[in-house]
Formats: sequence, C-alpha cells, structure tokens
Amino acid sequence: MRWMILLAGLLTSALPLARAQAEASPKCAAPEDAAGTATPLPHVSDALRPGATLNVLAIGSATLFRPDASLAPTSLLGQSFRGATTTTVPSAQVMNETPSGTAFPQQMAAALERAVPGLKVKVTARGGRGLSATDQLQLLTEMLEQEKFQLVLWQTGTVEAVRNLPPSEFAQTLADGAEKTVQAGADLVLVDPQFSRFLQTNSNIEPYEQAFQYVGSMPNVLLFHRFDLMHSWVNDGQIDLERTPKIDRLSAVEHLHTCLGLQLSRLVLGGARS
Amino acid sequence: MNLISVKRDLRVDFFRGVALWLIFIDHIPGNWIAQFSLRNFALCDSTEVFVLLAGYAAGIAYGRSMDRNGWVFAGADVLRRAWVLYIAHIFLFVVFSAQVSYSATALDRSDYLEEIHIDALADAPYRAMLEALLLHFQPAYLDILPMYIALLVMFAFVMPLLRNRWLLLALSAAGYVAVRTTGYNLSSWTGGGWYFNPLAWQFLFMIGAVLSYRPFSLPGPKRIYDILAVGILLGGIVLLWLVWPAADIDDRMPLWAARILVSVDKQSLHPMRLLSIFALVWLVVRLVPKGASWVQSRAAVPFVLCGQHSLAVFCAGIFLSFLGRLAMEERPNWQVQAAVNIVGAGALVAVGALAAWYRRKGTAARAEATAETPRPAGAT
Repeated sequence: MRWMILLAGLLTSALPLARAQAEASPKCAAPEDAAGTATPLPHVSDALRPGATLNVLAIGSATLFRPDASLAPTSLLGQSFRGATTTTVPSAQVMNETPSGTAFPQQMAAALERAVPGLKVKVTARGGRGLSATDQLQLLTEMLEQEKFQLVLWQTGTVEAVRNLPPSEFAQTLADGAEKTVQAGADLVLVDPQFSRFLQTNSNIEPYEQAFQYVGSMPNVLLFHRFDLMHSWVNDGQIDLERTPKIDRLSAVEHLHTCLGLQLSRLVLGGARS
Repeated sequence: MNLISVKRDLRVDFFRGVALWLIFIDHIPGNWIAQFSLRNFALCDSTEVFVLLAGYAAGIAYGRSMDRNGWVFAGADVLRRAWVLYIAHIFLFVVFSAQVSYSATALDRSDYLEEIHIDALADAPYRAMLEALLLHFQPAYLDILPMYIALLVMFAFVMPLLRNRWLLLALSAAGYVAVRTTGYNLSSWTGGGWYFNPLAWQFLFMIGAVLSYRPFSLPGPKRIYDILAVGILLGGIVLLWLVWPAADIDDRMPLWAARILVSVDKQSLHPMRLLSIFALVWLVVRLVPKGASWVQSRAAVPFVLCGQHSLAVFCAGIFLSFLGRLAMEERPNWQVQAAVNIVGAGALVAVGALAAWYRRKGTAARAEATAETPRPAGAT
C-alpha cells in the first residue's frame, strides 16, 4: 500500500498548478514571437494597399471548411465520406465547398481588411480530412495553375505525424510546394499541426516540426507556429479544446479560430512590412 | 493462497510490471504523473524495458525447454505463445476500435478517430478487417503486440543459436545494422511502415535472450562499466533537458550534429536509445542483486503480479488508459487525475491477481484430478 500513498502524495502536489491554470487570462494574448518570426513576404507586401485585392489560397484539412470538423459527431462524417473506399489513400476526402467564415483563414482576411482600410482579401480553400501533404501538394499545384494568388496558407503535418510517415519525404514535399508557390509569384505561410496532448506526448512530432523549420527558413516562406501558440493558450488556460465541455465546445472553437486568425494576420502584416 | 510464483527471477517480473504501469500512464495524454515516467529521464522508455525483458524471459523459459526437449518441442511452444498473443491482439483490436469509435460518436470527438487512426476502419471497413488480421493495419497503441508477435516468430527459428551466443548476436547485430542503414521496414496499410520495426527491435530481444540463457560477465573491471553507464544516462538527461528544448539548436551547433540529434527515432531503435537501455540495465543489475530482499517485499507485490501476467495486464492497460483519458477530458481537475491513476493502477493489479489466481487454481485442480482418476485396468 505504501506506493499508493506515495502516488496520492505526488498527485496532490499538483494542486496549486491546476489552480493557477484555471485563472482567466486576456483574450488571444500570447508571448512575444510565439506565433513565429516575421520574415519578408514581398508579394503580399505589393498587394497590401487600399483598393487592391489580396488573393489567398488556403490548403489544408477539413477544419478550413468547418472549424468544428474535428469535434463533429462521427455519424455526419460517415455520410460525407461514403465512397472514399475507391481512393488509394485510406480515409482521405477532398472537399470543394465554400470555406466557413469562422475558419482561421477567413478570420485572418477580416483582420487584414481591418488593418489596411480599402483592402479586399479573397480566400479560396482546398483540402479535406485525412489528406497527406503529398495529396495537398497536388491540389496546390492545380490551383496555382488555374489562378493567380499572392499568398498561400498551407496547413499540414498532422496526418504525417499520426501515421508516422517518413519525415524526410514530408520535408521534401513542403520544399517542393514552397518552390512551386514562389515560382507562381506568391508567398507561402506554412501552418503546423494543431496542438493536442496526444500529438505532444504520444506521437513523434519533433522530426515533422524540424521539416517545418527547415522549409520555413527558405526565402518568401514564413512559418506560423500554430502548435506552440495553441500550447501556450492551453498552458495559461485561455483555450483548451480537449478539456472544454461538449456544450461549450463550439464557442471555444470559434474563439480559437478568431485568435488564430488575429495572430496570423499580425504575422503576415509583420512579414509584408519588413 | 500465494499468488506470486517465486520460482522465477522476481527482478524481471518486477521491472516488467513497472514497464506495464508506465505504458498505462504514458498512454493517457495530459496525465500529470506521466512527466515523471522513464522517458523524461532517459532516451529509452518502457518499450525498451518491455522488449529486453521479454527476450530475457523467453531465453529462460524456452531455452530451458529446448535443452530438455529439443528445438522442435520448444520452438513449437514459442509459436503457440505467438498465436496466443495474436488472438489477444485481434481481440484488443476489436475492443479498442469499438471503445474509441463509440466514444468519438457519443462525445462528438471525431479527432479521436484521426489520432488513433482508426478512421481508416470507417472509410474502408471490409479492407480494414483484412489488413488488421494481416497485422498490416496497426492503429495507435495497437502496435506493440504485433512487434512482440514478430519477435517471437523470429525467435522460434533462431533459438538453437542460443548455444552459440556470439554467432546469434553477430547475426542479430548484422540484421540491425542492415535495417538501420537501408531504412527497411515492414510495410503498413496506412503508410509509414510498422510503428515498431521488428527487424530492428529483434536485436534488443535477442540480447535479452542471450543474457538469460547462459549468463556471462563482461571483460574488464566493473567500475569502468559503472562510469560508462552513468555517463551515458547523464548524457541522455543533458540532451532531454538542455539541448532539445533549446529552440535554436540548429543555429548553435554544426549541421551534422543537429541532424544526428533530431534523428533519434524510436521506430527502428536508434543506437542512442539502445545505449541508454544498456546503461540502465547495467546499473539495475549492479544495484539490485538476484534475490534482493525488497523485490520480494510486500511493496513490490503489485508490480511483480503485473509482470508475471503481462499479456492480460497490457491489454487491460490499453483499454483503461483510453477510459482514463475520457474521464480526464470530461472533468479536467486534479481529483479526477488522481482517481484515474489510482483506480487504473489498482485495476491493473487486480487483473494480474485474477490471472494469477486462475493459473494457480487450474494447476492445483489438474494435479488433484490426475491423482484421483482411477487407472483403467491393465494400464501400467
């Protein structure tokens, strides 16, 4: 029984820690540079003026279309993903619907429009649940051929980390995407995975983050540290989706995406103005 | 009735039990106590402990049987054990898939399906069943038993080489080096290969088997190994606590060094992880002699019980850790954390005790039945 008492002792010592986390903090506040370092984005810079239109392409997962996709009842998923058995990639589904206004790319667009009066920001989204970076690169290439964009947001990495896909190939895919984006006359903002306690402790996310760092240091590419940013919000008790009761989750998701959009717009503005 | 089988090396059972408990607490994301688990202090973690001790236990049990009854007899037993593990794995796969998918539906958390990657099961159910049976589809947490099964199958075929330990070690090491240099791995349906590459991990398993079959001592004074082991473990702590958390390691050290440091993989058992488990084992062997009194004490009983019935305890642990996670996410407070850890650990011990009771009960009844059955006339 001695070990149980020891265990209980260890656990109770966590009490002050838990209390400190419960205290409220200001909205969307984050430590300096938590979101990333603003490196020059020349194409965005040219388009950031009153009367101009900034054409943005967002490539990523289902959350681009439905921010609460990861929290949706699975019965809904079952309906929308019928027929996926014919694809070569298990559990992948490309979506073509209109992006949701609450998703972070739209929130970023709104924040940019507020920051630069007279600017119009148009967001086109492509992606879907379970898509790997390789699948997304194909979407990216197709879109860049069809339309002229000044900014590409590429949200990726979770599928790779969860399935343990080779990190070196992931880095190469990101680098190819960066090259294609820059060749097409646009700047690229990479968005790393959402923070989750599972990804942090039960998957080997480090090599994928290294790939983001490596490609993020290329010219005209900027890395938005969504994982670290969300981690800091979880730590200071601002936004913690995993531990939000079901009834409050939808508003927490909206709050998260507003904050992500706001932080992303600051980073993009910083990059465009540097 | 004494539930502990004392005829074995209790150190092995004790540390196996500890590894199983650590696997349970590590599998609950956000578990406060998991920050004190082995992986936060050493480059290796409970998986290395588990595999080394599995090899060690196999070397004792099947090695002895092989000496007495020959290779075919002992090898057949190893394969039967692998079959039992396979059945347990498939059962666990069904239970765990049901548990995760039900929870995801009931709690509106489809992210569970993606994290555990059983989303493939919903998208291509007919195919997924087949792939799971072929061990070609391994959702998260359901990747340890397939490796163990593969290790036992390999062991069944190479076990005669236990008598020629250097040959076995040389072959095993050659396989490990070949896998590390070519990056070869068994394929998996969802991509990325097996989460634990059995062709690399076999090296650790075979080392365990060799160590237990005919114990031998290393050449040279023990002090040198003590210093080396302490140095390796301290080096691991420096890496874990000081080097990796530093955000700008890429800028402050040469590229080749940074590249080595970020490439310490678990999938194919990076040499640094191997060194770490060697160092740990050396120190444990030095500090805990065979028959150490505390391993036989009452305080050690819960761990020894779990270690002696590792399969049942492991499977229960996977189920319980997900249940614990659900509880912690529903009520994120320290009371629930404490309850999950205490009740969970208690349940693991209870499973171990129940398995021990059944085994003991069965043995006694069988012995009695044999003694009481009247022999047919004419039988000698």
